[in-house]
Formats: sequence, C-alpha cells, structure tokens
Amino acid sequence: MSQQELLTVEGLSVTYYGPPDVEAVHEASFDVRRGEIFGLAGESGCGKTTLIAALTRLLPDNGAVTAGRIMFAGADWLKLPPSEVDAWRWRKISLVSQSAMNSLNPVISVGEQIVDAILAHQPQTSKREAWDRARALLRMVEVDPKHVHSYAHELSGGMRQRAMIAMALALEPDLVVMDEPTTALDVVVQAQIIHQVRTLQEQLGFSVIFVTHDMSLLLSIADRIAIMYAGEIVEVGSRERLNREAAHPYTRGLIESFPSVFERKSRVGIPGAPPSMVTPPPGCRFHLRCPARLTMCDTVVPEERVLDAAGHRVRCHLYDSVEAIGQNGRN
Amino acid sequence: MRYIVRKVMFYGVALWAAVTLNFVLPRMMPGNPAEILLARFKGRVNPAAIHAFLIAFGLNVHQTLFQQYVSYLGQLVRGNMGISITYYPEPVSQVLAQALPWTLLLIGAATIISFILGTLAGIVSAWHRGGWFDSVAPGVFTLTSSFPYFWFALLALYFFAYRAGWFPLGEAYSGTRASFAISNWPDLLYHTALPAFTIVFTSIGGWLLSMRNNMITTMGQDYILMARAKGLPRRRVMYQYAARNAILPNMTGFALSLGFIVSGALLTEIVFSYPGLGYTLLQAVQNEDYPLMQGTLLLIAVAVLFANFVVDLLYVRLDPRVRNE
Repeated sequence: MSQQELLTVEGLSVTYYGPPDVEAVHEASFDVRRGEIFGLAGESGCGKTTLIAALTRLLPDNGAVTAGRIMFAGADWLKLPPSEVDAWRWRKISLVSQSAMNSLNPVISVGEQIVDAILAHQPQTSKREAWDRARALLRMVEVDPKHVHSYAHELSGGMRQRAMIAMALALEPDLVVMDEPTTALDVVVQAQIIHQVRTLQEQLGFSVIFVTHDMSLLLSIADRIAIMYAGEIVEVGSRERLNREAAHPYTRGLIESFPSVFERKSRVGIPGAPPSMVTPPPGCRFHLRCPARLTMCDTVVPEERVLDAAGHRVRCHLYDSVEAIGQNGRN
Repeated sequence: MRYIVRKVMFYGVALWAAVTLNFVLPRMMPGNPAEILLARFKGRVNPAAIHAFLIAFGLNVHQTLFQQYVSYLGQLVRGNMGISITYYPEPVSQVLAQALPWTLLLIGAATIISFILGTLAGIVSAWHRGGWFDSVAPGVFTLTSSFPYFWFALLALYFFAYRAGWFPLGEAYSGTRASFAISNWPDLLYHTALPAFTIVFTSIGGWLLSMRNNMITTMGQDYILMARAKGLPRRRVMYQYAARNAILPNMTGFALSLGFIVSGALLTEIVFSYPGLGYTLLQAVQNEDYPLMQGTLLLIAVAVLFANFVVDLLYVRLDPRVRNE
C-alpha cells in the first residue's frame, strides 16, 4: 500500500445469516486515497449500505465479514479489537448516515450530541471548550451557532443534515463516510450541501466515501467512482473516465438513465430488476439485463480487468481480451 | 409554557367534572342515603341532629338541586365531606386523612419500586438481547404477573409470616398508636415489607416487558447507530440514547398506576389487614356508608388527575418535542 492510500479493501465479502443466508457483498476491492471524494453508486439493495456498515464496523449482529481484509490508516482494521475500534471512531472515521431526520437523538440537544463525541474521545477537554467547539462547527457548516441548544425537531431537514456533517467533522477524522446524505433533501438544499462538503473537504483535506444512487451527483463531485451491482463492484474509475467512456454496460445504463438538461434525448434506463441476492444468477450477475450479453456471460464468472494505468478496472467479459495495462479494450 | 397552561386548564375541567359526577351519582341511585341513615339511627338521635346530618350530606330536601349543588361545592372547598356512618361521628375527611398515609406508604413505595426495577430489567434485557438474562427474566416475570394476586398474597402470608415467622401477620404497625416518627420506621418497614413484596413481585413483569419492547424498537433507530459510530461509551448509548427515548411511552402507564395508588390495592389491604384506603372503601361498601364512599371515590379521582398532571409536567422535561406544541 502506498502512502497515498488511506483505505484499501481487498476481496471483502459480507454475509447476513438467515435463514436464508444472504451474501450482500461479494469480493469487493477498491481503495480510497487521502484527500479524495470516492463515490460509490448502485441501485437500492445492491449492497452499498452493507459495504459501508462493514467499513465502519457497524454490521448488525447477524452480519459478518466472511472474506477479505481492510487496511485503514496503516492498520488491519477488521482485526482491531472492539475497544480500539471505539477509540478510533470519529477521530479517524466518522459517518453521516442515510436519514438526517432520524440520525439525531430527539431528546437531547444538537450541541450535546456534538459535545459528547468530543468528550468521549478527548476527555481532557473542558466542557466549555467542547461547547465552544460545537458552536464553531455549526458556524463552519453555516448553521447559526445558537442552534447548539436546539433539538432535532426544531431544525429543518437541511439544517439537520448540516449539523450531522458538523458533527462528523468534530474530531477532524481522516475519512468521512456519507451514506446517501442528501437523498431526502430537495434539490436546492442538496446542491448547497454538496457544495459545502466539497469546500470543507478542500480546506480540511479529509477523504470522503460518498454513497448514493444518484449517478449525476457523483459525476459532478467525486474524484473516482465505484459502481456496485448485486453485491459486486463491477467498475472502478475516475470521474472523467466514467463520464467519457464507461466500460461496463451497467455503468453506461446508469449514466444514461438520468435526464440531461442540455440534450433532448430519450432516456434508456436499464430493463428488468436487480436479481435476488439469496440466489445470485450464475456467470455474470448482470447478464439477465445486459444489452451486450455474450453466450459465456450466462455461465462464466467474469474476472476483473485493469484497463489503464490510472487503475480503471472492470468486471465484464467484453474486456477479456485486454491483457496489458494501458490498452483500451473496447472491441 | 403554552403547553402547561393548556394542561392546567384541561385538568381544571376534568376536576370539575369529577366533583360534579360525585355529586350527581348518589342522587341517581335508587333509594336515598338519607333513608338508610335514618333507618340506622332510628330512635337514637333526635330530629334536629337528623336535620343537621341531611344538611351535612347536602341532602337538604328543602333546597333545589342547584342550591344543593352550590352548597356541596361550598362544603367541599372547606374540606367538609360529611360524616362517616361506619366511624360515626368522625367526619369523612378525618377518616380519609388517617387511611391515606398508609396507602401512600405501602402502595406508593411498591409501585415506584416495581416501576424502577422493571424498567431497569427491561433495559438490560433488551440491551443484551438473547443473553442469559434476556432468556430467563421475561419468562419468569410473565409467569409471576399471571399469578392470581389474592392467591399469591395468601401464600406469601402463610409461608413467610405464619410458618416462617419472618414477617408480621398483618396491620401496619405494632401497638395501638401509629407513629411516623423516625424511631418507628423500622417497625413500619417491618410491617410493609411483605405486602410490598407481593405487589412488586406480581406487577414487575408488565414494566419489564413493555420497557424491553420499547427498547428493542428504539435500538433499531438511526440515532443509536450514530451513537455507536461516534464511539461513545456503551453506558451512554444505552441510557442517554436508547433508554431515554424508550421510557417515554411508559410514562403514561406509570402516571395511571401512580393515580391508582390512592385507590389502594384492595386485595393487598384485605389480605394483610392493612389500614389503608382500599380497606376503608371496603368498610364503606359493607356498611352502606355513602358519605365515606363518596369521599373515597372523590379522593381517588383527584389523585388520578393529580398524578397525571405531575407526569405531564415531567414529560415536558423528558421530551423536548412536546414543549413547542
């Protein structure tokens, strides 16, 4: 692992024990570099949230990592004992979770929820200092600092999400995981918050894993993007690369299924529905919905291929002939 | 603040309704308490005293119903609820004042202990869901909650008091005079322990199960996941995040049971010959003592309202969401 990488995930598989047992993530590999926004996209139910839960070591009791490893900030993250993980939480990795509406404790004030995180990890901080920092954090995300004493129900959805972001940055973590942070917000607020995240990220230099099903959003903010389908990462590449020539048919489908403001073209979308995760289809998991399907796709599982020196990788039989790095393998 | 004003108004109206019902009900009953009274005292009191009684009961036949109602309210404000027939010539207010402390002590303590223990057990049970405590406690306490209380109390009295002799057979204090002096507390506790235990033992299961269920629902909330993601100490997540939210729905149930403390656990007080309000109510019913019945029922109604009011105020402290309603 080079200095540049903050997080490296290798062959990660996660299973929820049933009955029936469900392998929600299958052999996922990617890395997140220091100071970048790494996008993770895919349809609902493709395993994004499970992957995030495994990364943050917050899997529910019936879920477990069955294969692979995660190197995070130089440590074998999955092997760290729970006490050490708790000590690392928020200082190295923090979370902005899916619904701002329900992520704040309704009965204690916003400030207290920032302060308790600070005091849990920096017990030498005085209470006054911690509250001052809570105010400063709110100011940083452009929320009036008087709201430290507000409760969740007194804030608008956008303010709550900003407060959550302020909270996530309280201990200046290396990595902030954002799980669909703007999905529940209207587009105007969404744009403001995305802009804010980008600005703060440039100022403070933390890395972001940004999870969403909104491809258009990722194409505007992420440095690199991973595409997930049915528990697998099918393509990883830079934003420019994916925007210009996405390799996997699924990625192309995703990109084509959102409307463009400038062009009047019919949206194609992807026919069919995601497969059952209990019994994933044999061969390539996407073959049932794939417009470029080959005969072998029905039975042979595609290997991952590296398409260029920048690490553009794809898991698709269309690129089986690509051997050497640096070639564009589109036939 | 508006919430509190609204609540005060609500309870004011409810209190008025309770007081008025208490006036109307006896007058709607077949027969007349005065007739029973007269029959009881026939030949033993002079007509002037009887007339005084009737006025004391607010049953002055020369008044219209409305005049009776007004004078009833007037008497009530002055704390005059008539004279008890059972304990003649003690006024009802005095009989109630004597019985109330015992009930508050026994049933009050038992209810609060049961609520606290049951709630704590529910929290622990849900937090370690599937653990050894969770696989034992809910089952055991569901079983104890389904014991017929009368049967269980008699059993406890027979084994622990009569056979083993660890506890007294009944009453609330030794000797003939009750005293709440500090020096007398060991004796009071000695008398209260067994009846209180029987109440706690049979009522704790309800609190445990409802708290456990609330906790399990709450623990699925996103803010619990966030609290864990923040790496907060387990204790803080368990109490400040999970239990603090899970207890809210239970407060209403607690308010109701606090109110019913005053009605006394009738069975407990009968089995343990405990001189509380439940026992008094039983006496009143057996002796057709209308003034005492009326007084007891009024006291119960007021207590239920008062307990609910207190819990509503407490709710304001516990749940910020009701403050700006």
